[in-house]
Amino acid sequence: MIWGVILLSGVVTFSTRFLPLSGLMPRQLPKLVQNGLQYVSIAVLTPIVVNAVLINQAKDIAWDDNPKIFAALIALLIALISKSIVLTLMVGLAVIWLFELIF
Amino acid sequence: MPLQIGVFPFGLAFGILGVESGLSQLQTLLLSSIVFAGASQIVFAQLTSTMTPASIIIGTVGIVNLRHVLYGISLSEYLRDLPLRWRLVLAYLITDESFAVSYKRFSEEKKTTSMHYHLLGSGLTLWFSWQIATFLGIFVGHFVPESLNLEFAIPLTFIAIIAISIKDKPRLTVFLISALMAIILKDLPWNLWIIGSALIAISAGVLFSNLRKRTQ
Repeated sequence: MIWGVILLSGVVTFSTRFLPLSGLMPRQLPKLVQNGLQYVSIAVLTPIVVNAVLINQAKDIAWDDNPKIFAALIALLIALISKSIVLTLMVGLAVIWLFELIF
Repeated sequence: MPLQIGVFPFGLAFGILGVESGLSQLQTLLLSSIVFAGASQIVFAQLTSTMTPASIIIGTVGIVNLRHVLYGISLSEYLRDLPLRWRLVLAYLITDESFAVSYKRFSEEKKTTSMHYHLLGSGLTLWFSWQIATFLGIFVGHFVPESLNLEFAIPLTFIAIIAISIKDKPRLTVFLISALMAIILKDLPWNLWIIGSALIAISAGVLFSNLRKRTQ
């Protein structure tokens, strides 16, 4: 069962990559669709981040005693300034480690 | 070079997460080669561990990967005349990272008949780094102390990608709305918060950018 889901996910993923190169798709998509596609990355990644940082296993919002919120905000700031994934990773992890050390 | 460095902690974290979320070692490893798309593999692991129906898992993976269509459209200008076998291989290797470096190269330099080798190179480099990192995450991951919070590399990588993508007001709107919706919709069954937040935020972005054009 799980193998089937893995294979189908692979097929779906490959289709999103190959379709535009297949020659089967019109070269110019409707403006509305093109426009919408530009927002997909932000629109899917942001909820995943918010969920990973803010929501606990009981599906409650974890405000208290949650160093991830602080680390994520610092990381966001660093990313906005530096535009570097590597630097964002290093600073974000360093902040979490610092919290672990101090508290 | 920076390609591999950036992707390595992410792949490592995925390897650990995959096994932790109940996938077998082989399933985790083959997800990296069959699907080969970081964000959707993370979602896959998360959703399978919370008993989400198969159709929702596949649908969510599809939505997460829709961005590839945009990459493909941009790349098709350079790749559409290649033989089918080339297009099949190169399509499989399209990722955020390989697209970013190769498209930059394509659009800055003169068209040549061998330029697609650049995408093959960046894609394969990334592919091998991803497989090795996943492998290490699966088999060596449990030696990494929990206090290192290596899994936090996943949201951190996404934060960086998001921050780099917020280039204008419509994208900022999409960011804020999707963040808000993730909280509002958190209790939806079957983890529908991912699809729900994404679709609402995308619609808001389209609406916002059209309204802005009309008033300008």
